[in-house]
Amino acid sequence: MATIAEKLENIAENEQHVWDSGHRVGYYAAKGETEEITVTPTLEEQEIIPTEPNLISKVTVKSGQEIYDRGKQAEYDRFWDDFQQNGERKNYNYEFGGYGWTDETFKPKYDICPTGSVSYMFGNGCSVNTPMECGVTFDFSNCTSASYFAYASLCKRFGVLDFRKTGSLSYMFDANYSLTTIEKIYVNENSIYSYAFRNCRALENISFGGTIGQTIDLHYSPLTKESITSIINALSTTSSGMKVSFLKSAVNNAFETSEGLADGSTSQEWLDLIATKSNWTISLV
Amino acid sequence: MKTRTVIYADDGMILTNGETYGTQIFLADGEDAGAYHEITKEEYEEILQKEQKEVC
Repeated sequence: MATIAEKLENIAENEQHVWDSGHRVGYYAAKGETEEITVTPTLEEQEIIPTEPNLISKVTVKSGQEIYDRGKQAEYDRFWDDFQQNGERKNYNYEFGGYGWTDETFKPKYDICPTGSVSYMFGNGCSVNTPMECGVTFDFSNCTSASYFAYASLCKRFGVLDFRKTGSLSYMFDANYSLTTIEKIYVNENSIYSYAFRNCRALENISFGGTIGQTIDLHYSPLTKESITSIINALSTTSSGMKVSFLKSAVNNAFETSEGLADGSTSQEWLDLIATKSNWTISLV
Repeated sequence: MKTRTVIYADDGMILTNGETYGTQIFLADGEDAGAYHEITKEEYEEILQKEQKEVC
């Protein structure tokens, strides 16, 4: 029969093993990789009441699952504390680009409030479908450049992007064939949109806050009526020599006078809408 | 009420002034329709591909 000391030693060994397995799973998950071997925690919760005198009166052993989860959490904390500099990180250039990140693994610990540039932050194949629904708050209001922000990424949906202090939005969503929705994007009158939405062939929903004062091309996107209206309404009334482009079929469908006619680009509703921005050239492609 | 000038491209063609492209263009106040000419859709596609390569 094992002595109390031997029992405690065995328990300690088991605890370490279960902790390590959770820690290892957490390590791979935090790196955005898949753990190949998942160890199932087997340690059972138990109480040991020593019979020998002069020893501790009772030992309570936590369940393996709890120890496993704590190991996993410890690795998660260690990774994100380091990665996000305990919540102080301001530079997120390139940080979540590439195919490694998914909705399963993109679980930042701290709010993300970058300053300066956020180029390629979700670029180059980033596979997080809904990056802004990961449980933390994003605040881009102090960013000065969002060029290539989600260039060639696989992201499908963004929430509120406050780029009011951002000068360049060039190539922001270029080559993003998966993007369907940008809930709201705040811009300023001087924001530059060169190729910002090129090849956004799935983009249907976008709402603008602020004023669009520079040429903007959205002719790849099958935008909804609400989206098109939001863009027209956001166009500056004072800028000159600027152009906005839409997909002709999107306008035809959005403003059609009767279902199935697809005649929106000649409808009175459309003409009345764009009449408010006669300082802009509006092209339908 | 202001009247807005609209120019249309023929079938298979694209209107351009070298910067703007479209099959139907609503000109801005004071913009000259004479600045626009037609190119074929193939020529337009070539321009787009060339721009694409310049980025990549």
